[in-house]
Amino acid sequence: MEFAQRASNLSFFIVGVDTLFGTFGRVDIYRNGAFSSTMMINGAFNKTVGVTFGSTTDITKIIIYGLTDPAGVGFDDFTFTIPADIKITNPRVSGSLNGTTQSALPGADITLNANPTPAAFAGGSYSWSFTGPVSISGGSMSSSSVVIKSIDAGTLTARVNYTKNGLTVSASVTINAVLPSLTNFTAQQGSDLVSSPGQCISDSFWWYKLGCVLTGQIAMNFTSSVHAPTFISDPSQSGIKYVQAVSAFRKENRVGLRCDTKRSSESNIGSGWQLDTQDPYIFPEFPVHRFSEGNDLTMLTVDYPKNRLTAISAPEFTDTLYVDDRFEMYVVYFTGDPASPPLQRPLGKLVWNWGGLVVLDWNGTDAIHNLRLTNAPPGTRTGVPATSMVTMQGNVNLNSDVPCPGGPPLTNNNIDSSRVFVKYHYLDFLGRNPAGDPTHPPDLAGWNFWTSGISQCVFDLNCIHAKRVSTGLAFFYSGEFIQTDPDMANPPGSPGFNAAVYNRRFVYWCYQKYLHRDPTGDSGWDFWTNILNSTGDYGQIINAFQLSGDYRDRPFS
Amino acid sequence: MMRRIFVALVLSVVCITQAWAQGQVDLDRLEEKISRHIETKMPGWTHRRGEPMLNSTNVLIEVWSFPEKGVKIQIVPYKSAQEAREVIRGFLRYESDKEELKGLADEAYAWGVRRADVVFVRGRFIVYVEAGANIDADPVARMLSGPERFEREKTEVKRLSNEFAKHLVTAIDLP
Repeated sequence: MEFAQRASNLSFFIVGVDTLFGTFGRVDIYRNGAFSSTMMINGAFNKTVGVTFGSTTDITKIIIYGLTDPAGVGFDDFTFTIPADIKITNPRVSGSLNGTTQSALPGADITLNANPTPAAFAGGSYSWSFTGPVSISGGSMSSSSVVIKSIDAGTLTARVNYTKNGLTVSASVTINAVLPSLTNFTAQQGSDLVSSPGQCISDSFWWYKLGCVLTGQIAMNFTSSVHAPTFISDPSQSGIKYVQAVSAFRKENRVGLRCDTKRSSESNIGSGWQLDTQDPYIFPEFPVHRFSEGNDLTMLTVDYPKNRLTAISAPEFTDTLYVDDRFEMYVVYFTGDPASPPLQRPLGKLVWNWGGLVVLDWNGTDAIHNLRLTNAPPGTRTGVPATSMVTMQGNVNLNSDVPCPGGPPLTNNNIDSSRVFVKYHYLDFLGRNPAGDPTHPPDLAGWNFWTSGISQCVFDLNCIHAKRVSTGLAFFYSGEFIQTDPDMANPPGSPGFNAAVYNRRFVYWCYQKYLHRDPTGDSGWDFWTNILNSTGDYGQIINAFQLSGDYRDRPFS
Repeated sequence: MMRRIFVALVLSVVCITQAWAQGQVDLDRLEEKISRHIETKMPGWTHRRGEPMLNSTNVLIEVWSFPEKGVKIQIVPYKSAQEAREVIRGFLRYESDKEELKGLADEAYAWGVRRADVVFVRGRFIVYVEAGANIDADPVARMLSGPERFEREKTEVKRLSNEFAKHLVTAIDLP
């Protein structure tokens, strides 16, 4: 008698036995396909003799022979058990997981297969059950294969019950879902500088920036490494990426005072966090990394913060710029699509900052954008493990200018640009374009001189106001202007000054140059002349014209 | 005697007030004509009335806007066409950059190095037009050299100020 499956606990009865005592037959027992032992069959003063092999296991065959009972015997009630088993396996490791503890990366698929043994035991029904932070992402709870994932770091157990023909076997495995660990996070920070046209970027503009690409200087170069233990989850579904948060604060005098920030006040850094560029923070040469590359990953990236100081047109010219950008660069574990991951957890962060004060300063021969101070010393920055990120409000790249916290309302009138203001004084009083025109050469040094006179106020709005008035007066008193009208040839303080003639004519030219109309017949001409005659304050008159809606309504460009 | 002086003063104030009121009515009516006409001829442009310089009561200011473009119009009425002609000539007396625009209004000039301004006389009115344009809104213009950009800006503001001037002449002539 052969057993297709290994049997144990084998017993049976021999009936119709006439041999009352003594041996009347033998049984050879084979275990695992090989002869094991021979058992004698003896009479027991009974017609029925029970035969049992006790707890002998792995019986594959028995041979009953040498029967001497004179009338022959019969066999009945064979009973035995089949020691069936179910084994849990995973394609990433060899052998059975039964009773073991494995590791997995959170959020990534874990494939569990249940294999009944022996093979002939297949064909039964499966029932999986789980404990811990787990979700089913594939397969079925009632099939041989199921795909699960942990929904967070933690311990989970998977158990399968397998039933066939009333026989149920079970197995389980414990899985620790663990995040990779940060093993290194550093950055090298370069020096900030003001670059002239073509110096660091191949264009025609001035920039304030960190590092100089064309000369090989670094800006911010990040390096991070993480380690993951041996794990049974799908390695292609897990990876690491950079995410950078910035609390930007950029204040400039361009067309009036304007800011690029979300902060509620200059010092409230926590109120201004935004996403920098994109999530993930990647460039073609600095992609995200996945654990299909290995259990130890190293990731690089860079940042080149910069702020343009000039561009093509006059309203794009920055007189003064103050930058106080704070950054937190994060190394983030993610699963799935890094741009919209089902699960992500920060592993580390590196805090750094960039900024300084740039002012258009006169250097003796010309005015240049000058870095007066920096708050970004070059050197090494070191990151630390992190478990949380700041809350970010929108993307910094989508920001538009806003009023500076505590500052005046935003203006979009180009005359509030010092550059435009000076340009129009050239056009109105001197009849030439400071950038050059077909009949006049460029006068960039002069344009820079007068603009830098105003930029020296930095962010002092009262000072700027006063400087604009004095600049207007300077154009009134310029030799180039006063030679156009004999009545203007002798300004206050000159030997030939005649207040009665000069003052009336001064107001006339205010109308002419600031408002582009003739005041003849206008009661305002007398009104302002009388004020000037009584006060002798030419700045007051210029101030009134410069601030008037009549002047500010001109289409400045 | 004192009574006569008082009566004369009262009459003067009344006359001045009436003249001012009449002037305002004229300018208001002129603004209405201009607005209606230019709105028809220049669709998409928006406008508002500007606030004159303090104590400048006898001037109509209209500010017209279009994305990246703007025009300021100032209209000053005089007692007569002759007076208006005398004023415009005085206005341009010291202006070296000017050219007469023949065929426009009664007498007209473009002036300034960019020719962004046009001033003309129509009847007893002097009309000042100044145009501005941000040509850098066009990416192509940003690629031009400085002189090329100046020429492009000049062409655009000159075209704009001339176009508005022509519409203004027509609007002023409307009944």
